[in-house]
Amino acid sequence: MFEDILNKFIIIDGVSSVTIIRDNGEVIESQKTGNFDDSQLAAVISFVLEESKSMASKLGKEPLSMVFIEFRDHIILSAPLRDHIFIVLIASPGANIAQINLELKKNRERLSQVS
Amino acid sequence: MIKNLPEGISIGEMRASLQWILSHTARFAGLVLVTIQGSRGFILINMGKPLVYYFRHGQNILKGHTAYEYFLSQPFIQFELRKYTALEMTLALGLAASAEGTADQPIPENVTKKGKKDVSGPVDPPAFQDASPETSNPPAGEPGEEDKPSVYEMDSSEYSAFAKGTISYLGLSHNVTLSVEDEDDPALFPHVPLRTIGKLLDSKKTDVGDLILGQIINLPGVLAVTIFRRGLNVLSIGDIDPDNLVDVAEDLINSAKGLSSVMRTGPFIQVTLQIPAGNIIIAPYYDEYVCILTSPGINLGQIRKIIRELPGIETTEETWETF
Repeated sequence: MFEDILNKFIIIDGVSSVTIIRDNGEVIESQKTGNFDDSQLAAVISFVLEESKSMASKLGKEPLSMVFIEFRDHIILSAPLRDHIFIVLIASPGANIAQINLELKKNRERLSQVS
Repeated sequence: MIKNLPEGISIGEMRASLQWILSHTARFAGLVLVTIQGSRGFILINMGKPLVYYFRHGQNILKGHTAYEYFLSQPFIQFELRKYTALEMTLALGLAASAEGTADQPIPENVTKKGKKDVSGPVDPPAFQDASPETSNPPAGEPGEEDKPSVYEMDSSEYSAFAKGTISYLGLSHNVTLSVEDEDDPALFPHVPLRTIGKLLDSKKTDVGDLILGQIINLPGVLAVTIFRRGLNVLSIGDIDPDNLVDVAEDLINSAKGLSSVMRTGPFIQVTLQIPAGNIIIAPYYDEYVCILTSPGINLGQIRKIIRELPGIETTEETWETF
């Protein structure tokens, strides 16, 4: 089931990877077209998420809705699905972020059932 | 003279060269209070255009081009930025002119005889500019100042008299006009018509438009901005506790840097956190980082547009830090 949902993201033009991870860096589900190590990426992303949550909490204990990191060659978008579970997408800078967000919104509830 | 200048509102202290100061004050109107080896001076700046240079060391006073050259010779200047309202800028200019004690008219170099603002060409470091000392409006700090009502408390007739006096004090023609696009600019004082002065003073909106980071803070949805470097807050504007954020922001940037170890990312452009209360954006800004807080209403596309509009930032490999 989750494979189908992840496919909805991977077919979006410019998206090269979609991964569901735990906040300890463990990979739960993944689909990718790019050539990089999922588990290493998930580990680094988990650090970024930890710092992001820390920063959000400095601004009034706010829950994190999304983290968006932009480099010249890639954008990385991560959003919490439920406690300790996040989705991480990697795309090219020209990818349609609005479309990614829309798919995320449509499928968030189903994705949050991952275990 | 320095102690008599309007206090303004302090928006930060830092060290930088004169070139840096001038290149970063394109939308700033106010006082740059300079300290060099224990001696003090100032630069009055209106929208990136230095109007007055002054420095005092013991009994020696440097003014105009001499002070400019001295500031330029210093690799770093310790300074404090104090933003001025239009009224404070008027008073400061008047005070500077009175101290000079000449009767020259204060028609700036960048205003044509028709009163139109001439934005073409660079502005040379101006000499110490003078306003007529003949005025009914005494500079700040003189007796009687406290007895007068605040401009915000004046009724229309009182304000009209005050505004006419201000125009007269500045030695400006009552027929001074601005081009249409200039009329929307809140910090073009003193070359503004009466009705614009009234609009500025009555609305108290001058505090918004004349900040050093006005280019960012004035973007739609931006609530606060802070600039930091190596754990130290350099400047901050808006409702933000920078000391609370800077350490965490640096940790976040460092962790984002780690991504380049597992994939070819290219240079870093920005990181944005979305929380229900809004967005937190961190991006390189010259040699520092800028942290921008926005309202929740703006989306990632708009944020990326803000980043692209940051002054001094070009998204080329040469200008971005490569991780």
